[in-house]
Amino acid sequence: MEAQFKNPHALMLRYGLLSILAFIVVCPLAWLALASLRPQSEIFQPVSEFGWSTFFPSRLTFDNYRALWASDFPLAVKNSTFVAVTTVIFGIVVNALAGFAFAAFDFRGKNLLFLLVIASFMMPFEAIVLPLYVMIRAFGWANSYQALIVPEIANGMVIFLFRQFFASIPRDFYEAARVDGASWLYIFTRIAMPLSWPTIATSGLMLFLSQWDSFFWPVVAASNPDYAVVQVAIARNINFEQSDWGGLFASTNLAILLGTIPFLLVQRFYVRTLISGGIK
Amino acid sequence: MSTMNIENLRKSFGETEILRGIDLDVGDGEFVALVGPSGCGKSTLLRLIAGLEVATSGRLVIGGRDVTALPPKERDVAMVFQNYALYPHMTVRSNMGFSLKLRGAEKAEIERKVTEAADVLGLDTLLDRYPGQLSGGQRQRVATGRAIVRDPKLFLFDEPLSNLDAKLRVQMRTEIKALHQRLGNTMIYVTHDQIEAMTLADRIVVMHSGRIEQEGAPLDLYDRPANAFVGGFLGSPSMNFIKGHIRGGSVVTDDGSVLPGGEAVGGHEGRTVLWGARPESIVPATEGFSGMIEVVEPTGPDTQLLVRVAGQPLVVLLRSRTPATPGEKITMTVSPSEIHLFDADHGSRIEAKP
Ligand SMILES: Nc1ncnc2c1ncn2[C@@H]1O[C@H](COP(=O)(O)OP(=O)(O)OP(=O)(O)O)[C@@H](O)[C@H]1O
Ligand SMILES: [Mg+2]
Repeated sequence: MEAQFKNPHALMLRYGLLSILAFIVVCPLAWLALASLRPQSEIFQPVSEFGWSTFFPSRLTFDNYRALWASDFPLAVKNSTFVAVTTVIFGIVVNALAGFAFAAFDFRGKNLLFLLVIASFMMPFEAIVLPLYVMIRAFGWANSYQALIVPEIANGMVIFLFRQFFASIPRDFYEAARVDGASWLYIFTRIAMPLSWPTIATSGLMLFLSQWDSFFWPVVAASNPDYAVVQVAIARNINFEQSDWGGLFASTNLAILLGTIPFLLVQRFYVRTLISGGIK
Repeated sequence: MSTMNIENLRKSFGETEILRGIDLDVGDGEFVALVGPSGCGKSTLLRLIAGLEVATSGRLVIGGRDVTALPPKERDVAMVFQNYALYPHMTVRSNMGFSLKLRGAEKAEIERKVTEAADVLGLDTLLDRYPGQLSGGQRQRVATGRAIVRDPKLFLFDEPLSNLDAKLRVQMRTEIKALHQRLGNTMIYVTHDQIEAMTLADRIVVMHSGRIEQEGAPLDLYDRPANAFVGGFLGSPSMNFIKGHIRGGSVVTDDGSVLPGGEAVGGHEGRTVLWGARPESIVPATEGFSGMIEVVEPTGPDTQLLVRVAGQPLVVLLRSRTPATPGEKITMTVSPSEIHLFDADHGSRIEAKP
């Protein structure tokens, strides 16, 4: 390791490769962002002769965004935000409680149940869409916020993360509190949860992003335009006859930007927990 | 009244029985030390008393009330953990007031009791710190403080000093002793450290694979161990054992060496025994049994010798800076009252038959 850092050629190669990688990742995003600022007519014009003007528009315009504002995209943003935030709130409470039970209690069938939890996030969502839809219909929830929120609250991955974290808290904490007379609910809310903010941040983010990015389920469960979420609204810009490329790029761009807000807010915790595997 | 009575308490984890019938009575205000080798069930017993573990069978009575089936919070016991278990996100003040707050005590009362305990333990300037900002000794004090603000019927300590360095351990030992004298609560104290047990306890309980081997006042246990296990467990360096037969008032080993028989040989002619003598009971003499010095370890005030007697290593602790050289022969003796004889098969103590 040491020698590698001292060798200037190795260092150059390293940063050279990293720069190329960064460019490859950023390039399409930058193109998308800039394309959304072009006039409709100009979007694909410079693509064939690759050069300076492929990226930089001759004229910047906010027309695409203005058009978006007038469409039903703001409603979709509102829907998505509501759905995602509600899922985060309920999701953290429910999954943390489940994770705590797996970490702190011994009960019959615990291992089998935990295996099922893990299996649940290994399973592709497409596999359960139909039965889930039948269930939602039976509840009379088709085309409603419940349909979008409730199935997403319990999340095997998040339960797993919480269980790992709670199991890493020394049992002594729980036991000291029990000897001092605390109930399990008190221990959960006053000791386990305050210690687990990195896991809460990570889980909240995962739940938020999964809702913000979800497309398939909303299309199936809530096709009514009143309940359209961001990804569904973006897809509406594409159809067989002609596509509103300007609107598509602008809405995609906005979805990305808005989606990164929570990430920026909790980024510090997020990185830390992923690295340490949820411990401390 | 805070007495504790344990009747035939048993605990199994799955198939393995960890506690195999414990009977113990602890008087009001008594300080009892639980000692025993690692894995013998000391912590398990303590956790059963605290209610953190449920007994498989038996009865547990605290302060005259049967608490066998009660949850921890209804037992009125406080426990100090080996790792202190201070809540890292709470200040020293909230840590110490935690149990009172849980019980719904008034703010002023909590504040008064916490301040009082902090005074006793010298924590008054640290009340607003977090556990992460304290030294090991300070954390230990906070853990103790968290227990004493509750004024419980029973204090349980599970090796509370084992994470401290030797010097601090001695200091905290003195503090705990003073605390016990001042508060007068009943305390049960698990430790690995025999000196701790000997100096602190009114009574020592020696455990071994889930059973109580012997209980009694520290010096009684030391002077009259009920079996070879207790003899070997208490005391450091530990008691020497050599196997032999009683013949004519002496103990004769297989290779024919003759060891002094002591007071207990009477009436046991021919019996196979374990001859036991503490390292400090063995003194150089002009007459007695002899051996070859193998190792000399000066420890400052004492000199520790490893002597080979009857083909077996014997540790001798000389209370002086006796010059000794490896390879030399040494003649030693033991005062008859300091020789212990144990049955060679089951290890129980042998007394002279009248
Ligand atoms: N929850 C449990 N499940 C299974 N076995 C256990 C459990 N708790 C303790 N044991 C076993 O019980 C035995 C006694 O453990 P215990 O912790 O009481 O020993 P100890 O005397 O306190 O030892 P030490 O001096 O090392 O602390 C050990 O063999 C341990 O493996
Ligand atoms: Mg232990």
